[in-house]
Amino acid sequence: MAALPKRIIKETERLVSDPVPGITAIPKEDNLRHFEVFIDGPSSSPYAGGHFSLELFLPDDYPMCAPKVRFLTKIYHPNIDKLGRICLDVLKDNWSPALQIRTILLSIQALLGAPNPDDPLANDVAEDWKKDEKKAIETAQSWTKQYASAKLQE
Amino acid sequence: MSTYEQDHNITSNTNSSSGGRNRNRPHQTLTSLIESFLTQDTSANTVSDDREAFTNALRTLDSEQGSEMAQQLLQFVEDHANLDPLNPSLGAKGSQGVPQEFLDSLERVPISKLANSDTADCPICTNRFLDDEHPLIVKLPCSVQSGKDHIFDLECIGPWLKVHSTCPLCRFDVLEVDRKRREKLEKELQAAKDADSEEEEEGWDVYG
Repeated sequence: MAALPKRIIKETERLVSDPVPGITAIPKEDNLRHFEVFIDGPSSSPYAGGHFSLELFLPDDYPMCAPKVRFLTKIYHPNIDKLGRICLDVLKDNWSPALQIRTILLSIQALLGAPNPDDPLANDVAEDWKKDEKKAIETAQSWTKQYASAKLQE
Repeated sequence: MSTYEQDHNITSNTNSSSGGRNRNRPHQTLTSLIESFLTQDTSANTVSDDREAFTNALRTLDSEQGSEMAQQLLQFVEDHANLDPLNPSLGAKGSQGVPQEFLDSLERVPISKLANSDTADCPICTNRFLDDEHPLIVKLPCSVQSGKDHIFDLECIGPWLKVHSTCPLCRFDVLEVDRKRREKLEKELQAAKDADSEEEEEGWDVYG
C-alpha cells in the first residue's frame, strides 16, 4: 500500500488527541484509511441518547474527493437509507478539499439534529415523515432506544 | 463527444457493414474490451474514450449477431451520455474545470507578502507554507465575492481546479470572475471605440 499522505496522518492525530465532543473516529489497524466512527445523537433530536456506529473510508484520491461514510447502526431518518447510506450534499457534489473528516462528521451529527424529508434518499421514511411528523419522530426515538442504545454496544 | 459516425454523418449500420476497414486490425469484441478495462492503466484513458470504444464494440456485436442485449446496452449508454462527469458542456455550475492557462495565470503570493507567515497553511494539504523552502503559493480571486482572497499551494489547488472551477473555501466560481473581466473589457473597448468615432465626427465638424 502506498504511503499515507501527511494530511491523513495529521487529521488522524488530531481526531485522537483533540476529539470533537460526541464523536469518535479511530483508524483500523489493518487499514489506516478505514475508520471506525461513533456519533452521539444530538440531545435535542429524536436520536438523543443514541450511540451510532458508522464506517468511514478515505479513497485514494482523498482529499480531491469526499470520504465514503455510512451508518452501521440501524437508524430511522429521512436522509439515511436502509443500507446506512447518507444523503448529504457535502458528501457528494458539494465536497471541497478544504473539508476534513472532523467537519464531515460534524455535518452528519447536524443532519441527525435537522432531518430534511424534502430531500430524501428515495426512501419511505421521508414519506412517513411528511405525512405524520409526530409519529415519525416517535418511531425514530424507539429505533434509537432499540438499536443505538450505548449499553447495547458495550 | 462526437463519434466517428456523427463526424461523418453516417449511421452505425452502414459503418459496421462496410467491414473492409476493420479487417486490418484485430476484432474488438465485448469480452476483449471488458478484459482491457480490467487490465489497463485507468489514468491513461479518459471516460469518453472508454465509452466510445465500448459503444463501438456494442455496435459490432449488434450488427453481427443482432444481439438484443447489445441493443439495450447501446440505448443505455446513449441515454446516459448526458451524465458524463467529464463532459464540460453539461452539468452544474462549477462542475467544469479550468484550462491550464488559467492555472498558469493565477496570481503568485511571495513569502514576504504572506500574512501571519509563521502559521499560515494551505487549506488542502494543511501544511504550513513555510515548511516548504520554496513554496509556490497562488491566490484565487475570491475577493470579488467575499472580500477576501484565498491562498493555496499551487500543487494542491491545481488538481482540484482542473475538475472544479470553485474555490474550496468559499465555493466562489473562479471562472465567473474571468468571464466578467472579459465582458467588462469588451464593454470598455466598445465604449472607447464609440467615443473615438464621436470625437472623429466632432473633429470633422471643426475643420469641415
